[in-house]
Amino acid sequence: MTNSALRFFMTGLMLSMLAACSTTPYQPSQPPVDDRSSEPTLPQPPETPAYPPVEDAPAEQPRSAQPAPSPQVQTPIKQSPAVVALLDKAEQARVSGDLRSAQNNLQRAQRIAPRDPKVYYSLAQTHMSLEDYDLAEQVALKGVSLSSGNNVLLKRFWQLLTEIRLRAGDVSGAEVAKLRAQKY
Amino acid sequence: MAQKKAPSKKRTRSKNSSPRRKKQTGFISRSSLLKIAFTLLVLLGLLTLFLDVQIRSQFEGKRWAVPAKVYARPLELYAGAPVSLSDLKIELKGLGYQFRSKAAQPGQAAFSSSKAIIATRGFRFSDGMEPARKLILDFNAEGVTRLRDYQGQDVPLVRLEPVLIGGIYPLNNEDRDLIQLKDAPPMLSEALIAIEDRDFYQHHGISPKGIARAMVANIKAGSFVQGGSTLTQQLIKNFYLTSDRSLVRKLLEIPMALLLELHYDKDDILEAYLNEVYLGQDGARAIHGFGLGAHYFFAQPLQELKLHQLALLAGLVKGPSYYDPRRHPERAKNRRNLVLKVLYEQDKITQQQYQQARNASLDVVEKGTLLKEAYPAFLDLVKRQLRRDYRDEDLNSEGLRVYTSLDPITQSHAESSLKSTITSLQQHHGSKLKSLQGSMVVTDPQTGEVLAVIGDKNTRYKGFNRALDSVRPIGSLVKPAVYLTALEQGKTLASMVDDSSFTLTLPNGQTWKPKNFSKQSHEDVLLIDALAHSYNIATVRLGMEAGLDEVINTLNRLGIKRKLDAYPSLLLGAQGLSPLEVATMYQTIAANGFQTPARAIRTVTDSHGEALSSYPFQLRQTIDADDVYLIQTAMQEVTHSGTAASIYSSLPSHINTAGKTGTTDDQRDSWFAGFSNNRLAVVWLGQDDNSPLPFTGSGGALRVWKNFMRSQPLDSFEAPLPDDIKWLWIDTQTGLLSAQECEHSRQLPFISGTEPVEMSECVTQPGQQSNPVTRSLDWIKDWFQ
Repeated sequence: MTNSALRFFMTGLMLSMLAACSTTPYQPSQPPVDDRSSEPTLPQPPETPAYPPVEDAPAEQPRSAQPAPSPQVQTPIKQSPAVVALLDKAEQARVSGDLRSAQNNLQRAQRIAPRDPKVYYSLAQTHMSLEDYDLAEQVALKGVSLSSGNNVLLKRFWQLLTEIRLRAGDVSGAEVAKLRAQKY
Repeated sequence: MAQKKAPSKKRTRSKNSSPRRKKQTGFISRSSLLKIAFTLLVLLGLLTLFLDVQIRSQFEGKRWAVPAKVYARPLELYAGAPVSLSDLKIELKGLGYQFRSKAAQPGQAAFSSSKAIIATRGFRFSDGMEPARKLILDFNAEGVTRLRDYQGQDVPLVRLEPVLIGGIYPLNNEDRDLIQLKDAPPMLSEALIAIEDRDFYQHHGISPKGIARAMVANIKAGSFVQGGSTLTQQLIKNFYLTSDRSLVRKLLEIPMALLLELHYDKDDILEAYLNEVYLGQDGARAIHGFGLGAHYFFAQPLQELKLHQLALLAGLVKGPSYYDPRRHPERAKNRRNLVLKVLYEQDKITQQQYQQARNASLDVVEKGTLLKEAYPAFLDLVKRQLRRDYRDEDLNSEGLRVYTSLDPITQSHAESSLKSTITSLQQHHGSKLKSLQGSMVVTDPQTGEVLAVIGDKNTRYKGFNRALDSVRPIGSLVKPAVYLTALEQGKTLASMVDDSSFTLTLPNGQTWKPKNFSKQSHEDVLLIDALAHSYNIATVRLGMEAGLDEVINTLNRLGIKRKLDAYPSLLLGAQGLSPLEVATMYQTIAANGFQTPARAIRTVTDSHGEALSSYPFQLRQTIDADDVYLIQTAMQEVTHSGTAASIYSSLPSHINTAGKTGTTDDQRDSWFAGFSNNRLAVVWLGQDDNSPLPFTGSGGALRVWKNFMRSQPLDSFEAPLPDDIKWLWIDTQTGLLSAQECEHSRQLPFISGTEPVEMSECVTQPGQQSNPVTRSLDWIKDWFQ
């Protein structure tokens, strides 16, 4: 009896240890992500890497331990004071009707923060005011592509697209955009 | 005027007749003499009038053809800017800043290990003035952490003045930077007048005193050591007359000098002189004017020059080639010291100033310290883009300012990566690689701006621009377009692709048997792996199934404008493209399906800074966001486990990249094209005589790419996840749905509706699963039983 109790206890203990090793806490807000925190088994990059003179034929290279691409969580954009300053300047210029200056400031902002959807939102607005509806639409679509996961922004972008398309005379396109906006 | 002209014709005729009469009679009457004298007088008057018109029209009109100035992008400084201390030094060196222990004057900088203090010069941009100011920058390993003004107030953003990278010159190749007299250091005029024409402010164009003084000096010396020409005469000579030393020219010089002095005041004449004077030769480019001379010899603006430098410039006027301080430093120094001596003797400087300046070194920088004309390949691209909108004569004479996207820091790293890799390959392979060449294009894939272009391993060589004009087969670089076409037609990354060998019969009856690089064929492989490992046979099968015209359509949507022929060999990259075209193509993928033309120019302004045209950020979505997400994933597999996996021996693992290697038949071309979020680089290596290389795309071009990318402030590539994409676990051997715990399982993205519906055995028959965890558990269970 004691023997089988011990066996039962030991099995239970080992199983629980294994289970602890093999499960990760469930995080509902994130898609499953491969563990990217572990160090790759490739040798660490030396300061001045010495390359082999000729690398192996491409097809025959061993599979590296570098983690393969996996679903990525969009890191939220942290706006730098520089971008905030440029967006402010651009907004002032746009409101006062100096659209070229607004455009210049927004392109400066874009170079600093090319993944910040807000930059594209203002830039699309500016092109709309310049009556360049084609470019305004494309810039807004670029903003959409950078806003995935942010429903508030997506709604605003599709509302802007509705307006751009209406002004451009694209009634059916505006209708589509309006429906997209309502989705968020 | 008109009245005067009519009689002149008559008199001219009478002038012609008078010598005849002279011959006939041998006697000239008094009245004839008078007539002749009168005629000559009128003629002289007319000539004077003619010269007067000439002088005034040229002096008051546009005096010089001012070449367009081409500028690099201005460096943006702000807290968080990914600019290291050493990068800042590269930029400031290109701007000719003096590195001192204290930054006291504009154009000076002081550094400590993690801090920089710079006194900027300020610059008038087309969208506003950036004032000159003193700034304190703090750095860490990532870049700038804090930016303050000298009062300690945080400053959000500052633009440094842009580096001047080139000009567009008129046919005579004269280059100059116009200056105004009020902006020239007073000591420059003092020195010039003291050594060349000390009576300048007293005489009326010619100086008998000066001529006498020169004659005495020449007799004393026994040779020609001093000329008697005034500054006005010298200006006339350079400005209006040809350079031949004819008597007519000499005779014209004097009345013209007198006339010029009659119309204009001394300061106007002096200002024209300062801008006209010839100071040296840089290859085909003639250096004119002290404004440009200061940059050419000292890499500094004229206003920042010290006494000894100004004296040298003034001394050079007499013989720019004879006193060339780079070729004849001793001569130049003697000449400079002579100028200083004269200044001292005329009480223009104190003895202390004299001694100090005399003892100073020449301070002339090496040729090429400034970055003007340093980037011929990039400048070539700029000129081609400009010529679409501007006439040549506007570009080389109107003083236009062209603001470009060139990043001198990025360009500098690209150049050293290409050069060092080529050198090390040549050292290793010896004479086989004697004529190894390379080219490179770097862009910011999000904005489409071109940051760096290299057209030759000798990066300053103004010859064949390989980045734009070398059209070489792109090999496997074409494959992402083939796979993208297949994905658009409903294939998934988990589709099984046949990589077994086959023979294709072409319409003309010929047969073609594509082979893999390794000469081995494979059974069914996952589509994503066929791209990652660059399998040729699988690619040809996929491409033929998708349709050659469809693949060409995809290439067009990716930005290739060239006419492409629908031959099957297109699928393996037999088509030639330039590195710039490849960059355009990959940019569309990097920018999530938005085609963004490669832009090198931001704005063009007139000489007053008024914007003439701007080249805004343009884009057009040509690839669906879902499809581009899939191909981006596959191209990340290339750099993680495929043919470019060696990247991560150089780059940190948290920086995600994507790209593709390319090697052409017989290894004649070695390509790599790849990107992070903020940098896209295309590298080509090959030999101009088209001979084979002893390495592949990954052995050559990829090495340049890695070296370059390692030097860059990289932003990890993160593809935005479209709404319609879901990641699922699939079985790598069958492409069927699987689960995380199953063996051979792997996560891949699918567009909703295209995911496999069938389950792998591991899921349908869990009893037969061979999951390692379950296997271990079984083993433990057995042990305890």
